[in-house]
Amino acid sequence: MGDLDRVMQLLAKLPGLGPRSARRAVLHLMKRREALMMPLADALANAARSIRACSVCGNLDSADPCAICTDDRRDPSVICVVEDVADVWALERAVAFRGRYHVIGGVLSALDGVGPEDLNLDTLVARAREPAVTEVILAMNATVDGQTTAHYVADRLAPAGVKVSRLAHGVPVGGELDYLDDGTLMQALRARHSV
Amino acid sequence: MFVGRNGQGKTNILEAIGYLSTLASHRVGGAQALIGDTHDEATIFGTLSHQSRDVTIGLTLKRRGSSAATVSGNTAKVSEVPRWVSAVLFAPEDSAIVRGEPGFRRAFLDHLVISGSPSMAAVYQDFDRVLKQRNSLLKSLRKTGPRADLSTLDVWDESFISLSAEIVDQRMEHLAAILPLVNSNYATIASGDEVQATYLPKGYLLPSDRAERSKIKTAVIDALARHRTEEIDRGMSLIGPQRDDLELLISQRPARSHASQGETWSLALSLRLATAAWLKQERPSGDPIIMLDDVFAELDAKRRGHLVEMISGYEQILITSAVEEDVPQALRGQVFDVANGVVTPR
Repeated sequence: MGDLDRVMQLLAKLPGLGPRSARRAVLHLMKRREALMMPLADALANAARSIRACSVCGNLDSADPCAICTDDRRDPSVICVVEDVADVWALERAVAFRGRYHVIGGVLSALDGVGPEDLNLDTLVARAREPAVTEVILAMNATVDGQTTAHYVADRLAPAGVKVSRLAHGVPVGGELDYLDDGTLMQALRARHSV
Repeated sequence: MFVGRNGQGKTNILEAIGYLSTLASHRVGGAQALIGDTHDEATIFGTLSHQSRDVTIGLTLKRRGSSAATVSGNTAKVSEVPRWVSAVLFAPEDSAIVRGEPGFRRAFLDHLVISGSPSMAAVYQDFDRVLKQRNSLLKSLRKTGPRADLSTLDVWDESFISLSAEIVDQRMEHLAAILPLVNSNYATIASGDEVQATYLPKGYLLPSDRAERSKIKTAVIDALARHRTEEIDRGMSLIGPQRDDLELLISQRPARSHASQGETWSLALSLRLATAAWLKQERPSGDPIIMLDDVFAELDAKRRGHLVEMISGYEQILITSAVEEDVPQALRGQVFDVANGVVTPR
């Protein structure tokens, strides 16, 4: 197999890319060999060598423990549990949360053969038992699988004796009621609070 | 009225509209069979007009991955679609509601529930997902044997129980709502014999015909506990709305085994007509679309007459027929010829 074919074949395996877009990407890279292709190859090689899952929280970083876990300006008493590293990034972009994270790396799904032992849960339970930790926030996706997983995690955390909370479900900020789906409206009504 | 020889695509049109209203086909289970053999996806577009408002719904079914929907060009949740489209379909398959397997009666109830409370479409979607997860887990527990860790089954059960209770509750509530209409229809079409319809849980008992949701929940919890070993042994879910039935009685006798051909059709029509009448009464967005898929060939003159009389007041009626003369004069409106998948206005 030619080098070009090999690159295209590998690129086509990326999410969101098919054979056609992989060909386009490769052609584009070839045209900008110095400016793009070489730096990209170096960056990929470096990342492949240095990026590790943080042994504390599961976040991806070149340092272990990761920059978030070692940042002592962050509140060590609150842990926010998320499905994926992408969710950490989303929460970090929002700059809304100043505690620490825990990435469990997926959701329970018997259909996909994912059981509790495949998720990063034992370390979470151990962390929740640390005296410094007072609250664990479950921030799984609002899907059936996500919520079932949240339920399971809550059960696992019960013996640790920390406060366990979950994100609210309801009207998005800036959202118009008329456009909301019925399920969300119902959740929002159920979770209403006095003002 | 759509006229054409068999196999030209008449039913396909009604099936597509029916799919928008309930996210299910009246002919096949699952979306896969609705996608052309040589294609990866199928899309239904429908524009609905009510008073001065127009809404265009798009629904794409995919061979791989989940379906996608648009409402007036904006991405929407698939489970949102039924709230825009209200339709009742009469088809030759309807006699199976009375005489066929329990699945036909569950499909009838679920159509009724989703048409009456469109927000339930999301509950059904979640339930299907949890049921698949639970069955897959039970299957793998069967392989693991007695050493299996049952804690994940417990959490799936939790979701399974609350979704089950919601579905059973809604089925019973909607059934109770249409039962008087079923009886008055049956009296008009057939005779004064009383029709009874009772929700029939399989493997568990409900305290009454109209149990509170919390009691349904308790009943399902008990039944799951009792059947747990058996469920693991067989590697599948044995309790829940996916196995329940609806018992139909005419003059105290089970219609499934005792109804004559004539009684079967009278009861099937009464059930569908009751659904339509109830939707007309309950849904603010106008009458349901009435669809008659080749039913006139199945009915004798008397039942045809009753059917025509009872639906002629609805805003829109779509009819398919292989033989134009089968359709009563009173219902022949605009005619479309259907040949080889092409629809031509006459």
